[in-house]
Amino acid sequence: MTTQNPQVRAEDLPCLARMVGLDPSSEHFAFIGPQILAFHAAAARLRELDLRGVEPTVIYRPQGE
Amino acid sequence: MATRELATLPISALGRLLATREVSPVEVIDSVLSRTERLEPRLNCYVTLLGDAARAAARMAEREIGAGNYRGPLHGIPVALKDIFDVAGVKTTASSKILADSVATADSTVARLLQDAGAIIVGKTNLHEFAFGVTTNNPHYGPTRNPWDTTRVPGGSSGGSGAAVAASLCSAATGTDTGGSIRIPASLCGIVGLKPTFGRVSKAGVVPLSWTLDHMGPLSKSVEDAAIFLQAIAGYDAADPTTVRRPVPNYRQAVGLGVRGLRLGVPKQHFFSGLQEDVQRAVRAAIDHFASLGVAVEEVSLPHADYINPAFAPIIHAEAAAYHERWLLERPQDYGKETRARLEVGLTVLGTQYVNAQRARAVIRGDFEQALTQVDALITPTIPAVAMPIGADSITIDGESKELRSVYNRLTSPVNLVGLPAVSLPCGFSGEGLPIGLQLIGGAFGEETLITLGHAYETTTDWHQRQPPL
Repeated sequence: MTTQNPQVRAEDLPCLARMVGLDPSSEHFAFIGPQILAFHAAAARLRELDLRGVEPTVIYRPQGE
Repeated sequence: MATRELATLPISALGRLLATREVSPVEVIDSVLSRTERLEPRLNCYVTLLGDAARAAARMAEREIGAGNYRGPLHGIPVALKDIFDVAGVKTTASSKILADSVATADSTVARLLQDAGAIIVGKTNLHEFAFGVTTNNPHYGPTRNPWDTTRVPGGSSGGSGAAVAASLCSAATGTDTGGSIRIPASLCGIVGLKPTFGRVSKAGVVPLSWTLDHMGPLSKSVEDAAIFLQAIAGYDAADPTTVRRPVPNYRQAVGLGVRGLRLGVPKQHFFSGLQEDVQRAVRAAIDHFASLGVAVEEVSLPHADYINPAFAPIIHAEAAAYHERWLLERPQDYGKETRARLEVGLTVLGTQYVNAQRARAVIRGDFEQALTQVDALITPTIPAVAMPIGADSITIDGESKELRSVYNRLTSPVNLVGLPAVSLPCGFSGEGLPIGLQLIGGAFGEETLITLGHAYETTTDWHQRQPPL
């Protein structure tokens, strides 16, 4: 089963925190929680791109190499 | 020649004096160390000073040159290394508590190549903790201060290198650039910063931030100095599999070539919005200046520019978090609050987000490559704003308050994403007397074109010759 617009919401943060080894009850997590939400909101914009046929590449190679 | 004058000379001038034995490397090093003793307490450029080793190396260089064994334009030149480049027997702290006592057992490739060229390492410079930030306001080693106004940041992450070069505490320095960390301090400190093409300079022996975004390069007093420095460090390195087996051109030959008939592209999207007025005015004037030199200027399109940050953020966060994961879980209290938070955000990046960001990167790179079929280089501001007060974490532009970090790297990070070469050089000053930089972006392995254009601009303006009021 899938959802139309997957997103990380505030109520998901405690679960997400535990999955990656962070303590969701800490004062520090209250500091980073909004940053995590902002990050995932920005990253979600990549779904607007049509990436069919696009492979990840990062390195320039000279011709013939 | 007075001692202070030696320290403030560019490599191109110092090298001539050293080659002809008009001055000795010992005099040059003494000049730089004397100036450092006087100014370092105000600026905090260095984590580690290597004065005794530098004096010993200078005496050896003096003997070599005296015996007719002159190695080239870096022989006897005082340089600094950002404190994430390993130098055998010296601490590499990355300006962190985590690596505070970590002593390198071997030289980084860049350190080795510089020493092979005869350069003398005078110290390891302060940086934003683990290179993950843009201010060099470091919680463990203190803030580095901008020589043009010591209440303001020098930029980052290579802020110690930028401030040290601007203040003439070394002739040039290494930086690393993952989202702008060479070009940002270059712009804010009124000097030149060159980020080469991905694969042009080895990353071996350098503490990574983001393996596919990291670039190594020089901060210097002039474009010609950047060319000299790049010449020494560029090339294939078996220890870094991302370097390419491509011949290294003679970069210094690109200095002084004519620019009439070259073409500069002005991006229609992303790069000229959200700028401070002084920056907008200075860079537009620089574009007009290039046109007056016979350079053709035209607009170019980067249609996917809106996706630059959505592609950049997952890559840098995920790669940085992967490198730091063990320390993050075992020693989180040893990170500064800001760096720890950014790294922990990276722990939450999904695999699909990371891979799709790398795919989006290919799309955005295609836009840049297409634009660079029309023109020889792109011209943009380096940063939308000038140096901010130390401690500021936001900036207001056009009446809107924005996070400082995202403003400072907004125009530089796209070039890390696409891996192309870029140089920042001084193009003016704000009403407050703070430096402004312009950015030239070239095609893959097109550093020579940037050197030609940058040098032509420098020789017909005097922005790079101004000295901070120290």
